[in-house]
Amino acid sequence: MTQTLSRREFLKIAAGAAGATGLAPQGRRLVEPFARPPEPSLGGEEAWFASTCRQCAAGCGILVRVLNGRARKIEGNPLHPLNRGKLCARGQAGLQVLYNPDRLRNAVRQTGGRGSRVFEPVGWDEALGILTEKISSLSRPERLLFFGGLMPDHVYRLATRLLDSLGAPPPIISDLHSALEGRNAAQWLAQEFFGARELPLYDLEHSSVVLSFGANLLETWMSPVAQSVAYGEMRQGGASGRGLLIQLEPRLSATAASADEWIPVRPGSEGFVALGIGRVIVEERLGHVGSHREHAVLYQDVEVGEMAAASEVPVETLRRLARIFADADRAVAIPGGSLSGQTNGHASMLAVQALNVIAAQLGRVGGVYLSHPGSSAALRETPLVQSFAQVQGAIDHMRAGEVDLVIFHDTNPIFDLPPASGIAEAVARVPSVVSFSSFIDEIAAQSDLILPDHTYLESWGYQVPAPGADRPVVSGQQPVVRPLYDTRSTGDVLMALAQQLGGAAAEALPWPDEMTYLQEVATGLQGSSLSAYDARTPAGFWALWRQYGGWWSEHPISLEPETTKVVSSPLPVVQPSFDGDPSVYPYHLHPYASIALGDGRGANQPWLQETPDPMTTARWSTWVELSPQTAASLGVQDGDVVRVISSVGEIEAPVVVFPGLRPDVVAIPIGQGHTDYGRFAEGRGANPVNLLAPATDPVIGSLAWGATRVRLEATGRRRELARLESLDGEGREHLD
Amino acid sequence: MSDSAAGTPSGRSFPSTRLLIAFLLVVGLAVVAGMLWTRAQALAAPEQPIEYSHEIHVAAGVQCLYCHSGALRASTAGIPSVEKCMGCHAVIATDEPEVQQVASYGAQGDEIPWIPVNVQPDFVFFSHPPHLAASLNCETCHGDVSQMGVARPALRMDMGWCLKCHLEQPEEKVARLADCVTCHK
Amino acid sequence: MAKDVNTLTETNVGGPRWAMVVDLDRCTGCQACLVACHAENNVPVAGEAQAAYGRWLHWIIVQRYWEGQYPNVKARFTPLMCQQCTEAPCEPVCPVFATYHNPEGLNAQIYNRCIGTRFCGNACPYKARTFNWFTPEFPEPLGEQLNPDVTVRSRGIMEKCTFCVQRIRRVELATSAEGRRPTDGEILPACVQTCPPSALVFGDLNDPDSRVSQMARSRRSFRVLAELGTDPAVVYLKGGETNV
Repeated sequence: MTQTLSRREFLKIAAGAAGATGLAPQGRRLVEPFARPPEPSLGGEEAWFASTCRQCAAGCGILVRVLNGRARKIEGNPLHPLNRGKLCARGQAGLQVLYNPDRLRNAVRQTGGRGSRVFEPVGWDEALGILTEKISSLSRPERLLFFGGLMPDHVYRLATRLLDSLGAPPPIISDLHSALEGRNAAQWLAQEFFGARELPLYDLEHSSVVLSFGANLLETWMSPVAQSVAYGEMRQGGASGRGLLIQLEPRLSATAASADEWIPVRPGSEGFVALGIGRVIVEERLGHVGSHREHAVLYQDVEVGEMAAASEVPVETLRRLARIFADADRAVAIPGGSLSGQTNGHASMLAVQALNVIAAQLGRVGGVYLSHPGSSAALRETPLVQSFAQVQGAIDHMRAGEVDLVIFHDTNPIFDLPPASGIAEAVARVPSVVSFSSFIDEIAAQSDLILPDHTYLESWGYQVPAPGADRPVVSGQQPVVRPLYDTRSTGDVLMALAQQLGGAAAEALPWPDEMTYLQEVATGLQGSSLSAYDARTPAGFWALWRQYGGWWSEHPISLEPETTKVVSSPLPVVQPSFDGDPSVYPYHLHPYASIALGDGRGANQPWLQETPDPMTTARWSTWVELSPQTAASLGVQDGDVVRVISSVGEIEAPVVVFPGLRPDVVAIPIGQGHTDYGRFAEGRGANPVNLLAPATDPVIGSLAWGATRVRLEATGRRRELARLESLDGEGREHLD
Repeated sequence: MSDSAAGTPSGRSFPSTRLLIAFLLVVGLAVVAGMLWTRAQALAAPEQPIEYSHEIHVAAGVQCLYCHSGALRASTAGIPSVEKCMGCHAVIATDEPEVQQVASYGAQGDEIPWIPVNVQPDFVFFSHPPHLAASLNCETCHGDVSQMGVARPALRMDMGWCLKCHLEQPEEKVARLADCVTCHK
Repeated sequence: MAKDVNTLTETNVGGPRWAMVVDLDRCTGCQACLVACHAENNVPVAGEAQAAYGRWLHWIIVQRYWEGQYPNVKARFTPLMCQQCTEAPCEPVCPVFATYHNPEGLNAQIYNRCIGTRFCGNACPYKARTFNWFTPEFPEPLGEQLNPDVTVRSRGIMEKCTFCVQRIRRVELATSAEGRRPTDGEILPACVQTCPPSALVFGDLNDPDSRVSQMARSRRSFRVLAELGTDPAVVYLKGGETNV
């Protein structure tokens, strides 16, 4: 340094030195104790509140750790018979729904017009007034449509009573998750087979052989936590030896990865495998139970060689599976969601359930049961999911200008339904659209008025889980924190609405608020001799209800299913049909629910966005899974962007080369592709639902989401995926 | 290299060596003064929104655990809520201006923004209960609070001070008490 | 698998020696453990760009290995977290002793001591250590969820699985106030508590009757990269085979 030190520089250095000595002013911390402390509060001491998770429709019991009035951690409720203290990834992420930065903080009107995303707050009194006026001014009550998702039972009950009292049609219940898991189809199957619309329970825990036909038991199907708990016990629980799981589906899902064997079945032909197995059992008189004799008629129209050819599963394999299934002490066959996603879903589901009949596993350990309602029968107004055909009917009504007011609760049909159904145009035609969404999601963005519901951790309620547990259960819900914002529970809104509407509506919902209604309903169970706990007074029962997190029977009780006449006639053999000419669209599209995002509702939670997909370890995006053969034929590798084109739409996403895939199948996870729904969800990935042709199973009416054929085009572009695994150097991801 | 070799020797950059020494002395003194001053600041009683006097309340017979009830069973001792103060002060000493201030906070449902006196950085997890269980009384660490007006820290509660006592414990306990993870999680 | 060259060394006689058992026959790859850990330990989310760059911060991950070719292809899951090695390669390389082995068998990470040289992450053969490349952000009100029992780390600090030491401490304090020691299964790290198929088990290896001790004696047991001599405190049970 040859310069002289200037005075300015000297002072700067001196000041810096002074700062280093601590002469700079110290910040002082502040502590603000409560003005009026809540009763159980000791600073730093935790309180646990029992409630019910609502990240999916399963209804697992949760305990939430609350410190200083803030919810910190969610755990499974160890006493709850459904999930027995365990909880899945989405359940754990529930705190990011409560504390999500993109929540609506008050009721709003979309003053900039639908789709403008310009909202202005409106007072609740005014908002209720608007809704009351809209309902009162309907020329006919049939012009009111209530579109709901799998809401908790108490809201469903209130909504149904209100609509009924107005003379309006009952709620349309549908969401993407239930379509993918085939809930509506499973209800249909239960009605057909057992004469009761109860979702069957498969006693996985005690089975020695489980044939799972397209049921992703350990991921998103029906009650994944309860099923996973049972799976763990089936493997190493020790009680009955180690059970065997065989998974039959076109894609090696995480459930198939846990299975002992994966059988890559041609899409839509799972039923043929079941029929083939059944036919072999009957033909070769397999099994030690001899029950095949009386049910031989089921397989009258089935020929093993044809089934083998149709499913592309060799005859030897069918024979081997038949032996395994028939020889087992306790075998069970599970008809999963993938079956219902095809046009022959009804036939496939019947075929799979029939296997349980010929193995005489109905009502036996390790077999099939129905939930026993016990004392909770009175509470059981579980939403029955509508089929896609029924939903399409409602959409057609809207499009024809027959609906003046549509109300949406806990469902997002503009994201959930294939655009080919015409949902967006239909909603646009309805003069008044109201949403109860807590977030500005796709349907809220097309609404005129939003009356945001509390999030589930701020809500009261109850839900009878379906499928249920090994005993009657009613899962209770209570707020674990005070509502953060000026939102209102939909139950309370419906009651206030009923009071304002007066007349039959006010009579149908006579309670002043939700909690009063709940107390009345809950304490109705007080006298039950089945209860796991005792209380002498209704107040005591209500206190125990909240402490336990609901009501359940102390001992296991389940129902033995009885078959209808469906088992006395030949099973139908129905070929699947697919949208798209195979010569133009050579691949089957297999969209699947993401274990992290579910059907897309998890996309606004950053923990879930960052959760790696178990099979590809990719996250934050959409990708297209291609078999190595398909990728080679297209000349693409990991990260190359391809365009996937169906007869009704197209999307683009980067490739993941996926070894566990049939060469004629292309698989894409569902969950991204949101245009709204908050900063973590918006503008990310693509929604494969946009590719789906509105094909249905003609008998059940369910959406055949697996019946769309697609073709592929390499775009020449690349987009690296955020994958957990390092892809350079194959050492870590391939074992041989 | 050639620059510094050809350049002026160090003595020529500054006016003179003496001035340099003087400058260093000044800086050194400033540093020492700064250290002494901040230390005094750390042990001084911070300015509180209300001039609460522990001396008066202890003399009146109020026990430590009455207000700082978390110390016995919780991970934070806590500062009493306005409601706790008003429990007595709704009727006691209502003519005192400080008490009237408390009452006005209470009437508005506001919390009083106290400045905590004995508080550790957020990477230190101190818990009172095991210390109370070891029969330590409050004065051991918090000084003679009965003589304090507005609360002040009795001593610098730095890690060395904690460890000094921890290391003097019976041998079978020292391993746990000197383990970092006991206090830093 | 290479033959296990270490037996689990006995340390801390008279006190607990914490260990975990992972039953690979039960693990379904559901990622519940990963999310539970984020929630319990204030582990930040890196975001897509940084996660793509490899700068994610999960303390537990589920590795997926492919085996074979279609149609005889299998996939296997291996949950992997800090193995709390008794002979931990990460401990000797820290220039400021921010990581050390505590008497109970935990490989402890002291955040306020860490200066972010990242030598420990480099030394770890399991790549179980993660680094805060940026100051974590919790867009309000997500920060309301943070666990006050665990330090919120800032930029420049290494972090990794601690076997939920805050939970260990909490239960130990609570039980000592009751005048007893924790019973087997009373201390549950977040991942262990939530795991639906109960693939994760945690307990005291110094108690021969604890579940972890019993499971560690199974003929299915092995330890990951045991041939390196790290002597990990996490024991894995081989999956896919019968017990007979």
